[in-house]
Amino acid sequence: MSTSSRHEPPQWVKRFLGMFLEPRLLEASLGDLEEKFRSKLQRNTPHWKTKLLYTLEGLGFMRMARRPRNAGVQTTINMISHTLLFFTRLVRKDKSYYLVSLLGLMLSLASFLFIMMFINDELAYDKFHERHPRIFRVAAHLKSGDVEFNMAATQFPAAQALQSELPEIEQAVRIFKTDPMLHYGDKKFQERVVMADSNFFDVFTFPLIVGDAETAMNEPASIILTERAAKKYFGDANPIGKTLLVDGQQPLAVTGVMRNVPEQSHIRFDAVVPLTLQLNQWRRETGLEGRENKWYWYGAYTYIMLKTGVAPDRVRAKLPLVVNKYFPERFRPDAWLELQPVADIHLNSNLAQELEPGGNILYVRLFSIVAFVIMIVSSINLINLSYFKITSRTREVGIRKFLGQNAMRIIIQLSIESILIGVTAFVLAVILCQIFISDFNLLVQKNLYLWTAPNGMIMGGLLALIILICIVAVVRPAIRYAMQASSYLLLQQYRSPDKARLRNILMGLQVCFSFVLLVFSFIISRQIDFFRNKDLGFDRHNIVLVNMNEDLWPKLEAFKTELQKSKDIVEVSGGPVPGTGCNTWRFVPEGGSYEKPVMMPFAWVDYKFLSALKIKLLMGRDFDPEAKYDSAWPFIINRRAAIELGWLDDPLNRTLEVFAAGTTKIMAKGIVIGVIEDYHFESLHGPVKPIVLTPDTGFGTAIIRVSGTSPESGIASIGALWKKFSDKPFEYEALDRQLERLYDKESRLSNVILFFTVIALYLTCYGLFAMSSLLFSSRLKEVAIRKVFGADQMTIVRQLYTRYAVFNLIAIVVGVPIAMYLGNLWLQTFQYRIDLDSALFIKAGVCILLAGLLSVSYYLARVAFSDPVRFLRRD
Amino acid sequence: MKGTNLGELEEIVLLVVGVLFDDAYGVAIQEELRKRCDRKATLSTIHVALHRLEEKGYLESRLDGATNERGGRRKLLFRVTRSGQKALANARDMRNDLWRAIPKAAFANSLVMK
Repeated sequence: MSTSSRHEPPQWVKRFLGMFLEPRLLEASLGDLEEKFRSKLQRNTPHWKTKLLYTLEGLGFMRMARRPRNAGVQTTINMISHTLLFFTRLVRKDKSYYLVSLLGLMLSLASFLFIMMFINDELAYDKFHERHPRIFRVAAHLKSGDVEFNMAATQFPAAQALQSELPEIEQAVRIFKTDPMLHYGDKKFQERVVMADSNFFDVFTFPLIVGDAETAMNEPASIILTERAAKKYFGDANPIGKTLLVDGQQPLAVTGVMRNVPEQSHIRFDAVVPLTLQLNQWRRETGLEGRENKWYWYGAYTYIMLKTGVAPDRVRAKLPLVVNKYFPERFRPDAWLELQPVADIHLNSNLAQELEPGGNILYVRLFSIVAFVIMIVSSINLINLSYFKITSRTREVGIRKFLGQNAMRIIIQLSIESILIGVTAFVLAVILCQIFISDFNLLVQKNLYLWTAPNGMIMGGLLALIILICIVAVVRPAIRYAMQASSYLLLQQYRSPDKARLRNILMGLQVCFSFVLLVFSFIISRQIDFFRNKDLGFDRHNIVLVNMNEDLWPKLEAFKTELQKSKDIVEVSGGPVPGTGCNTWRFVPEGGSYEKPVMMPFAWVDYKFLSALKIKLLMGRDFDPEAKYDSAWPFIINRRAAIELGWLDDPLNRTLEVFAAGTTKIMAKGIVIGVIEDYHFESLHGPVKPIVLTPDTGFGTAIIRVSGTSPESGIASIGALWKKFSDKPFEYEALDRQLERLYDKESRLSNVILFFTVIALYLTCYGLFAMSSLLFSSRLKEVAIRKVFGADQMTIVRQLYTRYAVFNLIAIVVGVPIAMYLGNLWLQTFQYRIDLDSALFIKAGVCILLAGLLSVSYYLARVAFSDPVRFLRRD
Repeated sequence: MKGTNLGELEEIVLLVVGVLFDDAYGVAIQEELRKRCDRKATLSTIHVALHRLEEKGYLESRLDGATNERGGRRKLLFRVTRSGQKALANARDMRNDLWRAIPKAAFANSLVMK
């Protein structure tokens, strides 16, 4: 007995059948089912199979459900089928209304879904690490004079120091990133490789498919490939034990294959190599004074994992101890470390040397606002229009009541109709998203996929939300009408007392929100234009950038001389391309202390650098290949550097010494021969930094100014010359185009916001349009009477318009401070930004006003120019 | 007349009810169908057939015979009525007539005539 009682037939099937079968049949069928169930169990059929069979056979009896035992169930079924029938007739009668409102709702739901997917994806970064709440990145900050250096990386020894000083730390792991070429046979690809300490896989959750995470990093000369990379080199063959060559020399044995790095990771790579390999190499190259032992070079991304239950603030409080004990003495007062939760890096960290360009929490907020506005606007449409739709069905409700339908039924009927529209719109929206997801991905540079568990949650939530909104939209008028006596409702004149105030407030909100969004998208596009057109301190036009390669490096001089001969080429130079930034070096000005060097970006440039880029020389002279400066290097500094060094009045002929990278040795002594105007050698996201330039004839990228009158022929002559020097294909880039790419993220996201703004605007106008048809039709008779008494048509038009104009104006005025607040919030993130001027607001205001008035014009004209006789004859 | 025709499954079920005589109910009929006719039918299929036969007046039913295995529920037991017997006899006669009407030559080479 005890075994059989463990396996009872599923109760719900019994209960379900109980609702639908006649008592006689119920007893017989349940008896039969149970008898079979027990005999199956006795014959040792697996109990899951027995249960399944019971369920399937039991549900088969549903076809005998002639008449439900429960009268309520039957009535519900009847009612639903009646509602559906009635609804299809309503839709057929008023196709355009239902089609347009369905489209509007679909658009807003699809937009909402897209935006939520984007936000959700942004927020999910690095949450796939199982221990992510305990993982932190150590960021380093350093101040030199007025300039702050905020770096995502720290010094190599920092991990060791942190771990020995802070017992709260369970693991510390360093990452060094390189992009070497990997060879296997004749297959050769450039890969993104992270060189990491051997506990990499203990801290981060990157599961191995093949190989053992414990031992895979034991040998320095090993490599763990991602699935994708492994496939590239080995196809379907087992890669374990195969050997890859790094840059054609160092062999690495494949010890594991890991799953591809998730999209939502702030570290992206194709392979992991033990860091020891690199450290050993440095040790060999520079003896014991290898770079990894130095506290000067910020080259290692350092991550720590705290012990369970340790509050991060406790560790943060102790970080200054590490700085004061280990950092070089001169850095100590102005340096500090920061702990960044790994899941915050993508959205909240924007430091120098980030591993991947991050997202921005601001955009997540802005997008949420846009989604919210779209949802509100379309909900208001739904609420206002349902109200009028129900009002126009007074007589129908009256007849229903007269025939004995009770108030509850009527409310349910109206709610179901409303929900049907909502659910249909939702289904269409999901289909729309599925169709356009690849375009949206292109727009936001993501790889979103609709059918994932988190997106499923969003869709579920959205469906619940839309059903709720649909119910809210009808419940108020439905109750009002359903509770009236049928005799009132059947009177032709009956109108429920109109709550115009609430409706006007809702419409005002729509206009106000649309206005805010419009202003905002104007601000964004203005700011991006500003980026494109701001004077950068150099002339970005007609500059062609050509990357040199190993064929050209030995013959650079010849290449340059040949180029100069072409009449379409104005100037040839080379050096760091503006916009990309420069490395920072440590300088000691004359009379300065070796203990407190000044950190400044330092760049080697070719002789004609200033004239090629048309950078303005303020004082002194340009580099001269003929001039001799004894052993000193000639330096040209920018105005910012002169200010930084306190030499603004008299900077010429002063000396500067520069430390060799990562050491305490002085590399060179320089003499300032000129001062240039500040130019933006980094993107406009940050302020202009000081910079020191020194001449060097070798360069990686040629900066060539072609003639403004015929840039094409200039490029063609470079291409022709290139063919004489190298058999690789000729590739070039225009500087102005490359600079625009610095603001790609802003312009892309602004396009997204603009796009959704247009949708919100459309929804608002559609709402106004539909409402005007309903509102004006109630004034037909009034207008007719006025006309009969001799009112002039223009007066009537003016009168009807005035109300809308005033109403829109109020909404716009309310929107101004909101738009200003949001606009400033966004602009704050830029060092160089536009000012918010009133023209912007006026432009947006006029747009909204015109759009609003246009939307109401169609029906307004129909009313104003109507033939009064038609409407007066009716009664 | 539409309502009195015997479907193929109905005919077999009616016969099986006859075979089982006084113990013809859902599970027993299903079992018998499986054993004798090598036919798999779900309980609900059988009940649908039984229900239709009862409506046509070929079967009569009563509730009786509760057992522990059935969770104390009674069986719906069926019995062939007089008109049921007549319907079966008619069906058989019709078939026999048809068989007899087949010319010998038609099935001459087939296995059926062996």
